[in-house]
Amino acid sequence: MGDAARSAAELAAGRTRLPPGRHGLPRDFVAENQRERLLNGVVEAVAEHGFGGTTIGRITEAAKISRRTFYEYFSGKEECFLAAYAMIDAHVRGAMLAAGDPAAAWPEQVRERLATLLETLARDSAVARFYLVEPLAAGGEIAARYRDAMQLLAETIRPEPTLAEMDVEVRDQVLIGGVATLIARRLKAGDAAKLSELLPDLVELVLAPYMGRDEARRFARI
Amino acid sequence: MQYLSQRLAVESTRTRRGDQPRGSVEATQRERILAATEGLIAEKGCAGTSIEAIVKAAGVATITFYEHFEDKEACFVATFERAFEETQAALIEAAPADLAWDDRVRAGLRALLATIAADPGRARVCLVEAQMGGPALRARYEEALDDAVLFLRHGRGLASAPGELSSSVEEATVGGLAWLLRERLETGGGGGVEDLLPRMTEIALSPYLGETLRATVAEAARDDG
Repeated sequence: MGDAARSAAELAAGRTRLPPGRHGLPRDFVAENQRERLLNGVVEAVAEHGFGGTTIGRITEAAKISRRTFYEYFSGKEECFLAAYAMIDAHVRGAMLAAGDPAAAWPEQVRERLATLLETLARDSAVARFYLVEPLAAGGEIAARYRDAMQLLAETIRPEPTLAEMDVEVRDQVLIGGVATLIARRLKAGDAAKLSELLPDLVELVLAPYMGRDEARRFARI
Repeated sequence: MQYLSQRLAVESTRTRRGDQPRGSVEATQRERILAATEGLIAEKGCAGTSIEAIVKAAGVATITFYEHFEDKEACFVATFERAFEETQAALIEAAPADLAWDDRVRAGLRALLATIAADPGRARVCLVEAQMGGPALRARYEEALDDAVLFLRHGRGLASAPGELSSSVEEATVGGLAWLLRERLETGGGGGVEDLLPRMTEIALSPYLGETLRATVAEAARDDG
């Protein structure tokens, strides 16, 4: 990889700041880089101050970007939060769907997807809290997006319902409520690093309604 | 007595209530403030509830508010405390300890759903708004979940092999059922929530009871629910 390509990759990953002055990078790239840094900034600010304590000043400070530039991309803190949320959501669910062998039996796929979810969250507790803890505290549109995201998450860890199934909605809600509560309570307690220990419990919880409790437990503990 | 408004507030309460002792007047005032706060939070959320609106709705003077509470946050915490405690008391009354555990679960859930149906505003305060308040409120919400977890854990006495149950089973059940109820409140305002009794009973009991017993219990919930 040449120098230019490497620095572009580093910038895209949010690891470095743009050099001051003329840097010869394309204009779109600069814009995308600034926006991404603001998204990273909102995650940092929320991790430190909670949603309620996050201000535009704290976001721009964490992103090392001017307040004026912030307003070129977002109308306010909620819009910035929602953009970061959408990106994290797409990343987490994308990673879950890409995990494991698509030809494997579905219980095996469920295990792979849950393992990927826990690994992704354990890797970055600020992102994990942003995704699963702060939205309910924020309420409003943000909580609504979170609930939608969790519904989609539920759909990745259960079999396609048959037409005859009457209470798929109740089952999905109880399932995702259980999964989200177990993860969120460990994040609140500052135990992000221990999330992977939850895997057998989550696998059993998710599979039990479909395979029966005993069979799910055996499978989860293999 | 330092302020005129304070004096007037006390006088007016006496007039209406006859010759109640002073302590009782204060308890009534406090109760009125908490009830008003609960109604406002249910309608407008914590952020949209001001002390001005609270005293207006409660029919007390601002100075009276400050005789009872240091600030808005203290009043909110007391409001949540009252809502949680009264709900828990109703559940304990409905599900006395001399009933069999599975009957207690069913009776407790029935009482919970009846409470939600009768007062969806309070349910909203406890299940939705409590998570949006400050750290003290959120801690109180978690504490209520912990109480439910401890209660369900008694079910392990019925399981054929309690040691095999994962330690998080009850936490997942409580989290799942709370999620379900919150969704109902968010989407339908809590309407028809009592129809959930058989399903919720089955979900709560399923980790502990075999298939047959579970079906029997759910059936019973359906019959008398």
